[in-house]
Amino acid sequence: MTNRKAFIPLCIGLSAMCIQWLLAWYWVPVDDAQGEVYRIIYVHVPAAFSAFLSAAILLFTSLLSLKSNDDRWLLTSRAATEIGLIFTILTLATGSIWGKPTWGVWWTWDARLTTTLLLALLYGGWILLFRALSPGTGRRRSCAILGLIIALDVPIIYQSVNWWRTLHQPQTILRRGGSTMDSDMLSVLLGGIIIMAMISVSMILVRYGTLGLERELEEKSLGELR
Amino acid sequence: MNDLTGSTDPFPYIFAAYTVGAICTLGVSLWLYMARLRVEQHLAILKGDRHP
Repeated sequence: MTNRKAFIPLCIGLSAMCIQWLLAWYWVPVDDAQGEVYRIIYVHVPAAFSAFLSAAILLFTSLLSLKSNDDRWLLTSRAATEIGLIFTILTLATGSIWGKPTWGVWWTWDARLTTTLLLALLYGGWILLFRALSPGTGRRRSCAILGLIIALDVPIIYQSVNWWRTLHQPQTILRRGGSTMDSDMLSVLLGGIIIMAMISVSMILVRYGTLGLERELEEKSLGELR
Repeated sequence: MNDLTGSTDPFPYIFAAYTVGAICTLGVSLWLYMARLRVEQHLAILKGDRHP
């Protein structure tokens, strides 16, 4: 039987997410401008924040990976990249579903959407690079540099609605003069962001543990062959 | 999706977005659990705790 303790925070996070989604469906009021369809925000924004959080963890572990020869930072980077890719795909998927009834299209080459797609491609590229290179200093350094480039894309995504004329709506929560959202809407959204962040960090920790065990397994298998 | 007034019924879109969110989070959690279970079983076999 597997070590279940590692999954407890993840299970708590998933249970809390169910409660938050029920609140998002039945408790928060309808938006005046968009109507019911705005409720997608309670999945879309937390997923986007988790994708950015993974990039922040990747930035931190990439810097440590460049400074030290410890492979643990590379494993943490890999875990953060895999989970970051999943949440970026979720952000793009929910954004696309939201885009159809509000903009009339599933996809448009808008600055926010394009830079987010670039984030997904960069995350995918990191995984391919990791698999393509053999273990050693070269792989550690190359992956760390790509990790820094990925982290650089996040402020560009965040500022894209200010730097370019976009179809995507401007910042709703963090803006000058405070948020324009209703307090009930905002509290459920912030709760969702915290819960999804907890889920993504738990997933990264679980994945990191599994990757460590996989490395141990490889070493033991090689030892038995010798 | 459009009714006679031209307005769009939002519920299929909301339902689709939440379904994608649920599949993604629960699916990844299950994948993480299965991957951990597989590695721990292989390690146990190597250590001689269990036999295949």
